[in-house]
Amino acid sequence: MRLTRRGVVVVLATVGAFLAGATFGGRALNAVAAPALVAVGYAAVVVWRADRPVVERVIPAAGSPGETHPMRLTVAADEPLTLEDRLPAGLRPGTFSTTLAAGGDVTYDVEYARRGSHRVGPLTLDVGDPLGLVVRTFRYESDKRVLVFPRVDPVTDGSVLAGLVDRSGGTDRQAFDRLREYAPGDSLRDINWKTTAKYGDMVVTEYAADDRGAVTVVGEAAADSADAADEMAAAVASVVTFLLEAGTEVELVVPGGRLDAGVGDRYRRAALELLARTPPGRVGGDRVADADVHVLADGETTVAVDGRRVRYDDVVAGREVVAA
Amino acid sequence: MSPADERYGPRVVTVFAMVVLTATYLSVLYDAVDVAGDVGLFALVVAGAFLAGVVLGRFVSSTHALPLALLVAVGGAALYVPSVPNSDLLLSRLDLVVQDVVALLTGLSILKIINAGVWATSFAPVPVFLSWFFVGRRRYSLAALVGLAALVFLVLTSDAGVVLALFGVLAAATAVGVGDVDLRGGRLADADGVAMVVAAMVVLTVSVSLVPGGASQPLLPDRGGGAGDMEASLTDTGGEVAIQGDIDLSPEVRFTVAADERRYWKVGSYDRYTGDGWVRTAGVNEFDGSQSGPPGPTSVVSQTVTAETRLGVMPAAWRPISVRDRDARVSEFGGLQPADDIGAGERYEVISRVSTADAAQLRETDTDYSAIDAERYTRLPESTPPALTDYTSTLTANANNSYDTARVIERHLEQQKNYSLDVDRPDGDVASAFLFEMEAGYCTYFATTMVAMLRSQGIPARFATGYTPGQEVDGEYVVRGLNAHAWVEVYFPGYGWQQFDPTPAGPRESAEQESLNEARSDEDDDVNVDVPGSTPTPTPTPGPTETPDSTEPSDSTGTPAANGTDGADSSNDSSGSAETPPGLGGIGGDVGGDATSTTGAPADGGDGRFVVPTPTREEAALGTVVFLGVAAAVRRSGVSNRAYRAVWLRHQPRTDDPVRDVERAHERMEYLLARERRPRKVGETHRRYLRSLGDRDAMRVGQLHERAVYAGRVSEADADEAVERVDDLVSKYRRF
Repeated sequence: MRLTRRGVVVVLATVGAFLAGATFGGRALNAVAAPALVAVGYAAVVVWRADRPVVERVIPAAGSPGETHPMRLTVAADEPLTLEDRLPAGLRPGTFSTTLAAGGDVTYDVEYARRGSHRVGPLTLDVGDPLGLVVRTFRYESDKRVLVFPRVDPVTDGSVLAGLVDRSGGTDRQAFDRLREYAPGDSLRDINWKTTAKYGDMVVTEYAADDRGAVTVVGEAAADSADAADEMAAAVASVVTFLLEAGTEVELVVPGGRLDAGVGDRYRRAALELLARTPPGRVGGDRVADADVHVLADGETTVAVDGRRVRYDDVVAGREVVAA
Repeated sequence: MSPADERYGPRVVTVFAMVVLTATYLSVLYDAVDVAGDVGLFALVVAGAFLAGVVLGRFVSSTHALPLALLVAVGGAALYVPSVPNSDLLLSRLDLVVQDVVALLTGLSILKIINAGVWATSFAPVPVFLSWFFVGRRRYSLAALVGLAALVFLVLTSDAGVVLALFGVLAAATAVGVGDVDLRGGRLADADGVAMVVAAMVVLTVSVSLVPGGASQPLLPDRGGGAGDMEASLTDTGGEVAIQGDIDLSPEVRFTVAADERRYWKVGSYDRYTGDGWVRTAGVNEFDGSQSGPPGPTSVVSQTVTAETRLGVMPAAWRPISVRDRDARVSEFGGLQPADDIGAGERYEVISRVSTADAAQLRETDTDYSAIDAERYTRLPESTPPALTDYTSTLTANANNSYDTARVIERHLEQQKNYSLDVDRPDGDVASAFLFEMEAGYCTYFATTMVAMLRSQGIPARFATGYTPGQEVDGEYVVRGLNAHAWVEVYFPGYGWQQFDPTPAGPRESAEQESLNEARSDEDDDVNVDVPGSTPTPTPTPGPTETPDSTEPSDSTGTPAANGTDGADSSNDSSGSAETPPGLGGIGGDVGGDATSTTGAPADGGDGRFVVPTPTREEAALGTVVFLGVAAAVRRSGVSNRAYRAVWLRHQPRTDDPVRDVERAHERMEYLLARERRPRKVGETHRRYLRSLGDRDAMRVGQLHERAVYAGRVSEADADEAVERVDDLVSKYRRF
């Protein structure tokens, strides 16, 4: 509990009025000093008795850099208060503050600036008295995190990766294998409606799987370089997105972890979440050797496919054009 | 409330509070302008500053606030400085300016500034502009700070009273608190906390005195060192007379005068009439040993004054021309003040030259007042009721010279008004009130009214204070606190200031005598009531009783003043030993050189304590503030809700519809039982619930309720029964 600047002025004025009255006669100073003292005393009691306000925070959904999402806070309090919420470097604004006449809802926009898993807070509440003379600060630490995905660049020159798509790419919808009974989890688009209508039971078409296995993408970045990690994550995310969109099955290995092979949007989202969190560093020898695609961010970002290494900028040449 | 009300409610309240705050300090400044300035110009300047502040505040950023305010201040100074005599000196001697500011901050009234009206007119626009600029910018706390600073300044100069200051502080607190609510986008209901704290301020301020009391003791630059006790310093630095109500007289002997003539022993004169008191605007300088006497024929009066108590004043017959044995200072008016307090037993010698102009000579004078600043001595507050002038004009229609006019007024007051020390101080203009409403008063009232009436006729007059001659004992005059008096001086070209005394002498003297006798019989050893020879009879007075001199030793000598005051004076001076100074109380601590007269001064005031007034507009306003605070507290605590429930539970108004009555009775019962027994569980039927409680009344009401709800058929009598049974239940469970 401490005095605000305003409170300091009032206390000094009270003391001054008292001294002036004692030294040079009372005049009407009592009418100034007494209410001032009452105000400070009242403020101290109100603030001292104030309960710790309850704050609820609704974390905005994960998103890509450049997006803006609302941060929602609900404060339950009776007293006027000043709220200050701090956000880490990857989010903007760095500090948000507002004042409330009493409790209530606060919503403000958070701009996602940089890839990462950003821990929000701490949030502080300065609970004050009606005249703003005394405040008490309550601090709220939070474990909640805002996830910002890496940037995803459109791959303009897919020639490097084309071989992988052809070679792997999961299923080839042209190559019919057999019909079988429907099992939960099968895609609706694989249902063979014609046969189903004929037999009454659900029947799905199974296509010939290319069993050359998933494409393993490995990302590495120079240790201790957050920028390199960002670049690596962006490059990996772009490559993985390209491959997944082409229907290829992908396995992902980055310093932050490993994702078993998979396909589709859900896999893409899981990959982006992993990439959002991944720190810089290396993944360890064997995996690099096994990699179909090896992305390395070390000053310059390069992509190696089957031993052939190209600059990432060439893969996504379009980005340069746009940027220029 | 409509959404607009909710949104703008706090802003409206904030602006209103700022209006109140502004009004508090402007009212003080207005008083100064009213007494000594141009009210029209003042209004114009204030309105201009207000509009400029609001408009510029809307469009100009806050960083320009200070430069703009400085500009306004410079404009004000440009208005004020040229009006000050020796203004070039003022600018070159900044230390003098600093001294003046210190004097003001330590309690020197702004009314004592020579050009108080101009000063107030040039001061007012600065806080008005700045605070309303900040209001325009919605920086409410800064706006309140500026307004409050202006008000506190006027509190420090002792011009703003307790009630006014309290209102200002409350308004400032409201502006800050509700302004915050506005800035936070709150609704008026969010300002309930502000209402509560402001109400607490009122309640506690009214009941608690925090700041030490005592009259103001300004630090005047011309006052040498810290010599003298506080009361003594007060008497000679005062320069101010507040007209009061009831007063007492101090019988203590102040000083004795060995002189060859009976005279009024003058202490000071006052030029500025404020409507409720007097202020001296004259400066004070070192006395270089001699000054000229009054013009015209004069005689010399030499006096040796022996102080019997510590004196902060230097009484002498008008007009003193030289002093011996004492360092003195002299006011611009020619009155003497001791450089240091005069201790008991110390003495000084004064030579005065007394005008001996006679009535015939004074009748012949013209009205060429070029030798004095006539405006200064003919000035009345602009708010003085015109009736005073009309009345005086009619009264003196037959007098065709200043002297006769003065005599007519003097005699009129003497004859028409009674003498009494026991009066209620009137509100508003004292002179008018005394002339038209009051039947009695004491010397302050008489002298004030006479000066005001003379001034209304354009005759320069001023208010003089001092002591009546006192009791004559063996060729010396014994002067007591109760001899303090106030009278009138009128200016006659060629003859100077001439003394008039409109106070009826006889009644005044009896009041004084009474007070003296009382003091003598009190046997109060602490109070020095007599000096050797002054006791009338060998009563068992502990004092140094001596010669059983008659009660009226020799005070009965002729009139003190040959001029003017004859009639009044002669009777007046013939008074007995008890030359009681009716004036004294009125002059309060300022004139009497004595502690007693100061402390004995009538009630009210000075101590800074807030005295609850009789029901007035102020009190009504404060009451409203407290009421709002209490209402806010009640609302916040939810007491009102509970109170409503309590009434709802106990009192059921009947309707025409028995079904509804039964339903409501059932609701009440459920509410009651849920609190007093146990709430009904989820899924529990009414019937099972009531049966489990085992209360016959409750079960019966439950039956009736079932019938009312499901059959929709209950009679009036059933409803009566249900209500009655629930009433019984309520009184069974809930008793206060």
